[in-house]
Amino acid sequence: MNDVVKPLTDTAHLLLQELAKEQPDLFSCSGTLQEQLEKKLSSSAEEESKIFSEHTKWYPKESLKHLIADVVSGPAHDSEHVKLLRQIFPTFTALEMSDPRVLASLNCFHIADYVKIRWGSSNIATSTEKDKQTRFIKSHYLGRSKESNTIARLWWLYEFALRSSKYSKYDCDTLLEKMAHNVNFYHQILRRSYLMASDRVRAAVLDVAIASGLADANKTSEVTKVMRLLNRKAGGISLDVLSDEELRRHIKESLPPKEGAAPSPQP
Amino acid sequence: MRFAPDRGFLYPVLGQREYNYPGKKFSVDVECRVEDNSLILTANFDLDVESISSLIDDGSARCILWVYCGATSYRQIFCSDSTKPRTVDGKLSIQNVRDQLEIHPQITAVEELCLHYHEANRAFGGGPVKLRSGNLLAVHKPSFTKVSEIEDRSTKSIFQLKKDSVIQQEGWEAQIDVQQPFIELVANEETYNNFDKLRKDDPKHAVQTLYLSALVETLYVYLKDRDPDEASEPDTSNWVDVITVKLLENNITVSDDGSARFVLKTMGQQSKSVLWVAQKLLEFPLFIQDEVGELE
Repeated sequence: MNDVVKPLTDTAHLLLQELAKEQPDLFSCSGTLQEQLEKKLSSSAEEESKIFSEHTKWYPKESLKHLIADVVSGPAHDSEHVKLLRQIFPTFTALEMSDPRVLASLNCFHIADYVKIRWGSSNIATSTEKDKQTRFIKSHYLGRSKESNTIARLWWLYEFALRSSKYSKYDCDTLLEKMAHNVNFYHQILRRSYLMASDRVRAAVLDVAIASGLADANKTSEVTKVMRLLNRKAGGISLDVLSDEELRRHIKESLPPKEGAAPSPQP
Repeated sequence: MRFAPDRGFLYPVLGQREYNYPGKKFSVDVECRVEDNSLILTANFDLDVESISSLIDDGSARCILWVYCGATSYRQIFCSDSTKPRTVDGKLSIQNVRDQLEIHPQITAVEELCLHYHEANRAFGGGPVKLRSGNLLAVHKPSFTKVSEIEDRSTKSIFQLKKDSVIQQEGWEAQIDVQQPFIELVANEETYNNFDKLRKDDPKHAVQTLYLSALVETLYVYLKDRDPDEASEPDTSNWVDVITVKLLENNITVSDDGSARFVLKTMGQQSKSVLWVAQKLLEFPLFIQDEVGELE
C-alpha cells in the first residue's frame, strides 16, 4: 500500500484512536481503514488533512512483506522476526520506535496482516464484543507499551539485547536468543520500564537469569516474583551506583531458593 | 530509587519526609538546557546537615543525579566528583529522550560508611548506623523536563548564529542564500553574546524577536529566489526544503499567478502576509535533518 514508511500526522493519530472506539472491526483491513480515515480527516475541522506526515521518511531495504509472509499465530517465530525487522529498518532509533505515530503507522498500514495473525488466537482478538475489540486494537496496534505494541515489541527486544551486551558476559545474539525463545520471560523484561531502563542493571538481570535457568524456565509467576523483589530493593538503594559484583549479588538474592536449599536470611 | 515520601527506612533520610530532619535545609537547583543535540544538566546541592556534608567531603557519599525516560528506556546516572563535590554536571544526547525526562537528585553512599544522625528527629535515636554502597542519605523530589516540543533531535536549526568581528555596528545581519543549507545570522561579538544569552535564558523571547525577524526576511528571499521545480521532492537537508515542507504541512502554498505571495490552500487561496506565515511556521521547530537516502 505505502512503499515509504512515514509516521502518522497528529490529527490522523487522534482520529485513528476514535475509530478504534467507534469501529474497531475496521482494523482488520488496512485498505478500508485508510479509506475511512481519509473520510474522517476530510470532514474534520482540523487544518491538517493528511494521514502521513511529510516530516520524516524511511526507505525499507526489503519489503515488510517478508515479515508478513512468515507470520504464525503466537510467539514461535519471534526470534527470527526480531532479526528480520532489524535488517529491514537498521537505522530506526529508540526515539522513533517510541513515537506512537510511527508505531501506529507501521502496525495499521504496513504490517496489519502480521498483527492480525500474530495475535489471532488470543481470546480478545476473536471476541465479537466491541469493547474487547477496542482493547485489542489499543494494545497491539495503537498503544506504545513495549510489551504489547506489535512492532515495538519486536524492535525493543533486539534493542534491549544490543544495549545489554555492552555490560553482559554474553553477546547480543545469545541474549536475544535467550529472551526471544522465552516469551513469558521477555514479556516481564519489556514491561518493567523503570527497572529495566538501565542497560547495566538489565544486563546483570539477564546474566543472572540465564545462569540460574530463570530465563529458560519461562514461567511468568517466577519471573514476576524476582522482578517484584528486585523492584523493592531498588526502592531502598541505588542499584545504579553498585559495582557489578554487588549488583549481581542483589539480583541473586532476589531469585527463588533452589529446591532443598536452606532458606536464606532476609537482608 | 525513585522519590517516595511514604517509603519506610530504618534511619532518617534527608528530604524524604519533613520531620526526618526538622528545620534542616536540603535544596537542589537543577538547570536543564538544550545545546545543539544535547541536554545539558547542572545541579547544585545545598544542605546544612553536617554529618552528611562531612561524608560528601570525605568522598564516601556522593551527590548524584539520575535521569530517566520511560518512553525510550533510558536511565543514566551522573555523579559529583571530588573537585566540585556538591555540583553534578551531566550531558546526554537528546536522541535518548522523548516526551519527558525525570531528574532525580539524591545523596548516596558509594562505600561502606557510618552515618551519625544526631541532627535528625530525636525519635530516630541519633544513630550511628552502618550503611553500604547504594544506601540513600538524602533524596529530593524529582523535576520533570518536557521535551516533547522538540520534534526532531537529529537536526540543527536552519538558523546558525555566527560571530564576525568585521561587523562593527550594533545589530546583526542575515545572510540568506538559497544555494546554502543554513541561514547565517552574523553579529559582532557583543551582539552575538547578547543573543546567545537570550537564546538560553529566554528562548521564547528569542523566537519572538530575533528569529521572527530573521524568518520574515528569509521568507521574502524564499518567495523571490527559490526554484519552484525543486519543491517536488523536498528532502529537508537545506533551509529552502525545510520551509517548503513546513508550508505544505500548514496548507500554505505560493500563489501560482506569479505574484510571489503566500496563500492558504484551505481558505480558497486566501492571501496571507509574510509576517503571518512566519509566525505560523515558528510554532514548529525549523530544523534541518540529516539527509536520508535509500539504504543499501
